[in-house]
Amino acid sequence: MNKKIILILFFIFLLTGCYDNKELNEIAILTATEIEKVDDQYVVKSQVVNPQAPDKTTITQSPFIIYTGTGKTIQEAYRNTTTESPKFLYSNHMQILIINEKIAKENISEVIDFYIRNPAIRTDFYVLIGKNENILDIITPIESLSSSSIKETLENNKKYLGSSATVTFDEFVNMYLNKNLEIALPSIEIINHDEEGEKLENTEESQVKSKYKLGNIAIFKDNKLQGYLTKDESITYNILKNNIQNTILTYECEDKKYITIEIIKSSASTKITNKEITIDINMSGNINESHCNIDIKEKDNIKKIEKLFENKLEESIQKDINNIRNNYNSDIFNFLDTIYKYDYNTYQNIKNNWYEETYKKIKVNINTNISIITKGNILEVIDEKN
Amino acid sequence: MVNSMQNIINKLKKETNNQDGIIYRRKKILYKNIYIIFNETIISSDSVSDFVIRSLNKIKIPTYQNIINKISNFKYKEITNYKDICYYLNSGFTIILISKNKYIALETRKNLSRSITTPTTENTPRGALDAFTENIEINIGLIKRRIKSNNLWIKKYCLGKYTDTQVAVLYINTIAKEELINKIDKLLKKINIDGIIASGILRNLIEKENKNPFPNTISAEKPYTAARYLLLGNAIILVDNDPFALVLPATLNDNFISEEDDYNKSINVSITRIIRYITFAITLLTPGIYIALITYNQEIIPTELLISIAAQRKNVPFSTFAECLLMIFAFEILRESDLKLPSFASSAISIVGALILGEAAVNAGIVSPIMIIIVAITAISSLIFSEPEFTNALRIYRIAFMIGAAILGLYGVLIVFILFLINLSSYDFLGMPYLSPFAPPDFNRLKDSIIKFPTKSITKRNPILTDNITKNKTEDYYE
Repeated sequence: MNKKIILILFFIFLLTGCYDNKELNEIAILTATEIEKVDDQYVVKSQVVNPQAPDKTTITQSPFIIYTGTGKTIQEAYRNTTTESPKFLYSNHMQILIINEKIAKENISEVIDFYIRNPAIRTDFYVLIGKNENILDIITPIESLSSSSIKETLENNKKYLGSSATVTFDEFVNMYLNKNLEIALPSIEIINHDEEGEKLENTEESQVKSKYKLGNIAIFKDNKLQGYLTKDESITYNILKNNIQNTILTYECEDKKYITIEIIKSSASTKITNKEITIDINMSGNINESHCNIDIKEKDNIKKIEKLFENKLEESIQKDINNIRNNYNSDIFNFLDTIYKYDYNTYQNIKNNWYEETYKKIKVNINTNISIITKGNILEVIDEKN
Repeated sequence: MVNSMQNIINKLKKETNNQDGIIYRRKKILYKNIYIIFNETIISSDSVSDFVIRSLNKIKIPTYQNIINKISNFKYKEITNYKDICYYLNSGFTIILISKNKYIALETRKNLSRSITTPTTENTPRGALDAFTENIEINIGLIKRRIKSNNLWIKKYCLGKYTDTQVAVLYINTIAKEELINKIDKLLKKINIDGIIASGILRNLIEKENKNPFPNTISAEKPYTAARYLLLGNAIILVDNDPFALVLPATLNDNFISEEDDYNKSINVSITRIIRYITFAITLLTPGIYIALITYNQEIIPTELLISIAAQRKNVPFSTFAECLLMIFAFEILRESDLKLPSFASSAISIVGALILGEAAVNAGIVSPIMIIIVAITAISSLIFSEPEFTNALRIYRIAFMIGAAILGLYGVLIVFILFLINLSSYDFLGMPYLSPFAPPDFNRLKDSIIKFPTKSITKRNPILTDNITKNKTEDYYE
């Protein structure tokens, strides 16, 4: 009798079965979404993988397909793609979300709502701002899926230059929800967008005509897009946010002659001392290229280069911070958040008039410390018959 | 008086339907008739004529004592009743009827068994190469050669109404618990069957056959294995006419231990054992987890791999579960036919199997290439266990995992896994929990399970099997 009851209880579990059964053949793998807005209607473009038979050496079909849906909400727009798509759009593998500039300039919060509410979507995809439209349409070489291509470009840029940023949806929502933080997102644009770019022929030439290019960092204030940083400002932003894995710094050593240092380690810490902001930056790097005739066998000369770079870096960071403060008046460096964490009393006093009074005026002290570890394979500059 | 001996002969003739293989020879010594009876098919004619008849020729006075004294056979039995006459006659003895109730049986058996050969199921690159044969005396001898102690005790039974099969229980009386031997004794005494012609029949009679698909005994083909388990406190059952000894009780862990392990250093053995355990998990779980991932939990698969699998599965008309079942079924057919086929035809099987299952099925779009990989790794992994019953048991659970996965995804795999663990851990045989030494944990025996500690540090036997726990007192010279 007991056994029967246990058996029946066990089968209750089984009765729930199969409710979310989706054979792999029944789903279309959605890898990227691009959201635009036309006349108060959301236009959602979904990039769906078109799996190619593995034994075929030459690709004859486009590696992906773009389905476009229009609707008053994003979900409605997604569902409207069922008029085109033979399979259910499976969005757990979404890698990239591109939000068009126009939406970013109006209000970005409507976009956030859908993705954070929907349990079927993982929140570790990257968010970018699209400077122009139809970015996902482009067929790219090397990585045939433009979503993977963009994702890897973002990561590659983070690893070796740091002029862009990798912001996952989680981090994006965190920036959105935290009152003390401002949103900063990477941007992307298409160069030479023409019809050829949407065909496989686009990948047949060595000089790819239509291609995407990562832009610099887009900065927001009150959830509205304010503008884009320059490349140097983007790197400064990443240095201060500790996003740098590896980058290069190039400064003038003599007139019109330059030295490039590869930064292999960078750490920045922001503190509040006497109601002033102090930023300590520690970097170590290698000399990668030098056009000046400096004898780096001498330790003093190395010290000199280090000193030069410290000063120039300090100067340029100071300049970038001031520019950003003056041009956009947006606290993307999280100074307010730092004050909130280190000096709560001051925070209480200034939080209401932060942008109006304090932010532009607050003094920022920058201490930089650069140490050069290796000097490369040659000790002197290559000179004619020297 | 003479008549009564004649009675016995008549009775025998009647019962055997006057079988012409049984020879009744009358011999007159002085005034007295004695009868020599033997079964031609199972005696050695040399020993009958050379020893029995020649010895009898020399005897002048045919008294019972005199015959026993003078007879030159090495082994004789004094018997008194008709039942024993039949038994010894059918076992290849020569019976001499001397008087009404005094008979002797002389050992004159023909050697009907093959010689000791190399093992066929337990292959090891190193180690002793002798294997059990069909003759129980040779088998006992092979074990006795390894364990010379007086404490190797042997209990003999005669089982089977028609077969009268000799069954021997071997144990080391100072190691094995008396309790275990008594239990085996009870089990064997309960057996009442027409015939035991294989150790497998005996095994199924004494095991709880349907409680658990996994085997609770190990069929050892090598005397080495038998001796190894005797020293641990297990009992060995030998069945006449069967070249496999039963080791009982056996645990799950015993299936992961091989003779080869004793020849290797403990660190190397540990790695091999870990690989064996991983293989166990692979062969059990791979198809189930694959089905769960493909039909429910696609988000776990890395995107690139998912796209590649999607491309492979694009034209497959079946569901993943059906596809997987089809391939596993095909593999089981291959394995079964390979076992049944003589070895000269097995190359045909492998060509047909490899070509049809490997190439053509993929080209025809019936299965996806990734499924071939899944089934291949499952199949290869299942073949590392030398005990065929173990492989068969894995098969049942593999399909249970597949069904769980097809109904509930990874959640279903988990549910079946819990049931699997409950099944294994709630099961014991002759007082030995099947998951010992993992559950209940026995730290001394855990030293020789997934990881093997240095041989010097493995000093204890399993307390469930023995009260004489210490087995190794070797002192470390290098300390």
